Amino acid sequence: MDRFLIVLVFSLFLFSCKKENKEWTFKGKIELPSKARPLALAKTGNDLWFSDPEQFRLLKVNLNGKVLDSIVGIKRPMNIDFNKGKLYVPEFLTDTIWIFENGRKSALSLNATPEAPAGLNVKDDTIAISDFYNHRIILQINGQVSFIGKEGHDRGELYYPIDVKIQGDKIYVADAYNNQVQVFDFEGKTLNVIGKEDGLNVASAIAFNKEGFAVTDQENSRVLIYDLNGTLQQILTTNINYPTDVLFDENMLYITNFKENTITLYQLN
Amino acid sequence: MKKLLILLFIGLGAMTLNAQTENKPLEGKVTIEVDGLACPFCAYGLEKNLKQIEGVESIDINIDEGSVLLGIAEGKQISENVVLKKIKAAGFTPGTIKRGSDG
Repeated sequence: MDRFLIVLVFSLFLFSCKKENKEWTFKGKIELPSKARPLALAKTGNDLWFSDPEQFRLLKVNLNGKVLDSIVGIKRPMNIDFNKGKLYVPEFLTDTIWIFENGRKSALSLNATPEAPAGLNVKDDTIAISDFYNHRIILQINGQVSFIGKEGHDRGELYYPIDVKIQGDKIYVADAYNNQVQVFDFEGKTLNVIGKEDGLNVASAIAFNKEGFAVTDQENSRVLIYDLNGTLQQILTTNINYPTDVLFDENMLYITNFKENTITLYQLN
Repeated sequence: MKKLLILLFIGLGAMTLNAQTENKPLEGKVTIEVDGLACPFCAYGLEKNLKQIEGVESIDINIDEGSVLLGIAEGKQISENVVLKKIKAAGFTPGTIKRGSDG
């Protein structure tokens, strides 16, 4: 009887220690207007803004795909960001970063000129911009500019960066045509290189949640989920068609399907 | 010796004709097939490059078909080589050029 009790208590202890192994599973799709080609996402409250460079516009939709608002006449809006009530839109053809706030439009004051800004991330007084044709990241902190990376294929060099995310004291770059994610400190020192061995073919977007981050594997129509150390956790392939952006929202994951007029939803179970 | 001279003349003639065709200026509407246009970031980058050419009035990038429809301003002519160089500089391989396309 004693032995039985010991085994029971030990089993209960082991069970309670077992790490919950949650996985992302396909939940459904948001249907967008027929001509829409969603490139990038930003969440505002319960709704989503997406950039639609093919139609020179941004659309705001609810989670049923109903159009609630629009911004038109933007010359190829790319990887957008939403921060403190402001929607930041890089305009690829004019090298301008537009800020939309309460129906007003203004240009971001930048102390460096990008050539084809592909993506950006804003955190408080810091803004990071993917400078696509200059193969670098523009980092502006309180108006002071510095650069990360230069053209090339070695560690610390970038080749057509598309997306960038500031995460604590690190900067994650979707180093698109080097087929990897590079992690830098704010001085531009490379801390980690992720994804090459996982077969990434054009890393076009990065998104973070508490457990880790997701990367779009554009040409393979996959999304790769990593933990914060950069260890691959899961590969998503179901109902993904040429993903160009990814966005976490609690236990949901939104993925743009650029080759069709849909956004794919995954749920953490 | 005679045969060699004839062959040399034919060769030179063919080369001249080829060069003339390649350098024939573009005007009106022109459709250019481009390999690897699927990626939107690169496709719009090509658009940005082609816009820099003087005389280009409109550009219609067709990502699905992998082609670019160039509209050249009336009365203007653009060297084919200039266009091909821009396409190559943007990292693409140009394919067939169709002149006088109405899109």
